[in-house]
Amino acid sequence: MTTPLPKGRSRWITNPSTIAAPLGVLIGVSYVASTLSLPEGTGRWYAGLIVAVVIVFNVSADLWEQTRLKTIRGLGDGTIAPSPATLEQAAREASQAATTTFFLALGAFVVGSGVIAALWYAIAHPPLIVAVRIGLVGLLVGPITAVMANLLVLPRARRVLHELAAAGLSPDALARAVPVQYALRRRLVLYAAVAVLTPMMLVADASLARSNEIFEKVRAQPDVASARAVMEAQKAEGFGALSGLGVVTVFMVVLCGWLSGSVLGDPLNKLGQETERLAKGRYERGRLVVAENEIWAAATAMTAMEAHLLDAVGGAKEASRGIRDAAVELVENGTQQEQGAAEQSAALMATTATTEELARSARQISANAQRVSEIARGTLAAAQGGKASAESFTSAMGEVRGGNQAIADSVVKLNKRVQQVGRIIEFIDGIADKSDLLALNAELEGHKAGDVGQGFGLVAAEMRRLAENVMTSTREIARLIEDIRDATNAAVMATEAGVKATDSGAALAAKVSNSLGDIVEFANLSADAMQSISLATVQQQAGSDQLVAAMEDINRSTRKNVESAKEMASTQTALVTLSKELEEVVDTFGGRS
Amino acid sequence: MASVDGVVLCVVSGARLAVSADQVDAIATAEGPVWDAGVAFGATSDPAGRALQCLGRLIRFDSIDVVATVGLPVLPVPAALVNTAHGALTGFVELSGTLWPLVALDRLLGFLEARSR
Amino acid sequence: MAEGPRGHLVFACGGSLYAVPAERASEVVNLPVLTRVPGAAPHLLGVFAHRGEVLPVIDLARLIGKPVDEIFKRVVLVRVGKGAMAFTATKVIGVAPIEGAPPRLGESGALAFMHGPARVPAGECAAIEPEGLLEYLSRGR
Repeated sequence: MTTPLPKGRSRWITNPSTIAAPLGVLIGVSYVASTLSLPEGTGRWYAGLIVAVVIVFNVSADLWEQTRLKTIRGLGDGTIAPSPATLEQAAREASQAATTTFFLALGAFVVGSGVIAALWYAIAHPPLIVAVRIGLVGLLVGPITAVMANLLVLPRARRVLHELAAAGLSPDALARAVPVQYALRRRLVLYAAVAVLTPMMLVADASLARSNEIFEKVRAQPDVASARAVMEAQKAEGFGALSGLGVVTVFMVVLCGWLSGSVLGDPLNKLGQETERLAKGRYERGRLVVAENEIWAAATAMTAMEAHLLDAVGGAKEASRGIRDAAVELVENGTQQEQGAAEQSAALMATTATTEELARSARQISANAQRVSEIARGTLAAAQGGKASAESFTSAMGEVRGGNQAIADSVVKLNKRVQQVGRIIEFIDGIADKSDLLALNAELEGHKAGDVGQGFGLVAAEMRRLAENVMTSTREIARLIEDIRDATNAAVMATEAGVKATDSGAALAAKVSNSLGDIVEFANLSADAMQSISLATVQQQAGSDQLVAAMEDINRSTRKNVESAKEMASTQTALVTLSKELEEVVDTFGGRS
Repeated sequence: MASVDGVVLCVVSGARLAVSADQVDAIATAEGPVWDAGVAFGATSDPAGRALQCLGRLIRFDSIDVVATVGLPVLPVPAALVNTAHGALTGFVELSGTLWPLVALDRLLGFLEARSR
Repeated sequence: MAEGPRGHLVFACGGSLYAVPAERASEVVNLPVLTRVPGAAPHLLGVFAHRGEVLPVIDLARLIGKPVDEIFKRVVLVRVGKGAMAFTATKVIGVAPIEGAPPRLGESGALAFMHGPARVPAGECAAIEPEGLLEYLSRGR
């Protein structure tokens, strides 16, 4: 962010010289008035000459100054574009403005008073000594006026230099534009000499001149009384102009002293403040105290130092931030690594256990495989035997089925015969029943016939018994037939079930036979496979034993790794703490880099 | 031996009854107040059965058939049964080897009336 | 009555033995299909025609109030002066003599016309007085 140079700064810088010059002229005129008695009729010329010379010299000196400040004027008007080169040129002009003013003022007073004296002498023909004395007034008043102008311009020049810095002039360029001159002592001596010698000479010369004048007047009196009266009169009137001169001179001297003190003190004061700021660690780039001579050297050196410090602090900040980030990352990585190592350790423990288990399993498998191989061979033999058995069973089942069918047919035939017998028996029973009934009635009739029918009755009774026997037998036979019928029914059902059973049995046997055929095939294959497996597991057993040993080694290494990771993690945590502290310390240099 | 000309053969609850045709006023549908002949056999006649009208009253049977006979012999009532059903049983007729109890309708009505009380 | 032993036809009806005087027992036949009689008492199982005559069939067990659920195979036809009737029988034993005159089995009802117990070779039986029983039955109820 830059601020352009305000307009009219060239004129503003030199304005104090325009103020200082009339003051000097006033002092000179007062001196002349209090110490020299101008010849009658020359005062008009003298005053006119002063006015003319002051105007001419002031205008020409001003023009001179302005030509020495044309870059500043151009920047203010906008006719010159601000660039590093033009800004540097403007700085150079500003830094030389005070010196220029000094020499211009001094020169103008010395030459001006000489010109006035010469011209006045030529025109008004005063006594030569008076003209010379007037010509020497410039030598008396010029230095203090020049010093005053210089002291008044200096702060303004510094202000412009600051404004140029604000307009974008870099401190380096400023340092280049304003070369360091180690002339502080000389300057102080000059200030002191001018401030002390000018009033001293003025007062001394004025006093001498006044004394001389009074002496001449006294000497011109005829008697002592009149001489004393003249002296009293001179005493009463004569100190007026001289005292006025003294007041102006004292004012100028005091002003010079105050200005010189300010000119020297201000930058020192500012330097002090800047140093205090630096001491507090509040660094800022581009801060510059504009001054002259040794103070300027100190200021530029401090600015450069601050820039270096800021660079260093910036670097340190970046570095500490980097360290902190790196440390945090390290801690994270360390934590992850620790965690990873722990996990790895746990995983490896598990893996070791698994590997041991694997080795154990391998041995078991090897043993089992051999056993299974034997069993497979046994199975093969058994399956082959089973297949033969199943085939013979199938043929046997076929025979059984045939037998069953024959039985079923026979039973059905038997059932028919039994039913026929049953019908015959029923018929016989019916006859027997009728016979019984007939015999019963015969017996009854025989009884009714009395003695005659007795024999008949006996026969009838016998016949009844016969019929009853027959009926008993037929009932027995009927019961037997019923039993036979039940039995044959059961037999029919049993044989039917038997036929079905043999059918399904035959089918099953066929399936069994097929399955056993498959089993024989598979058993053959599995016996071969088991032999291969057995061989492979023996080899695997050796391998897994080696694996167990390797895993134990790895496990040991991992445990060490875990311990290292833990140590590293704690170290990294400490590192993070340290880096944070470092960053905080660096941050206390609250500069804006 | 007594005989009968024309009989009405009635069936109720699987039991048979024969009535002399001249005792029957009409064969009607069993609607309105009827006397249930099933009561005589400890049963109930079909409500949708037919009825015999006699003396202005209706007696309901499961089914009714009329057989035209001439001089059909009437077998006498055994001594053990002479007072059966208030004397309504008057004899038996035999048709195609099947015995039918012959009843007097007016006495049967009296018997049914007494049973229903 | 001081008479000699009289011949009786002995038959079983359920678990009890009965006897009728042989001269009153006209015939033994197989139980035929019966025709039910309107308004008849429970012991009168029905009637059947036999040799042009209608015969009532009497269940003696029901008559004395002890019904049985056995199948009656035969009926014993009994004829007295007033008429004829048939008694159900599960088995007809045969003709056997009964000595003397056993007392009546009851004072009223059907039992008043039965005498016993009477000794027969097959056991003890109730000797039926057919005339009185028919008279009793014909009174109706």
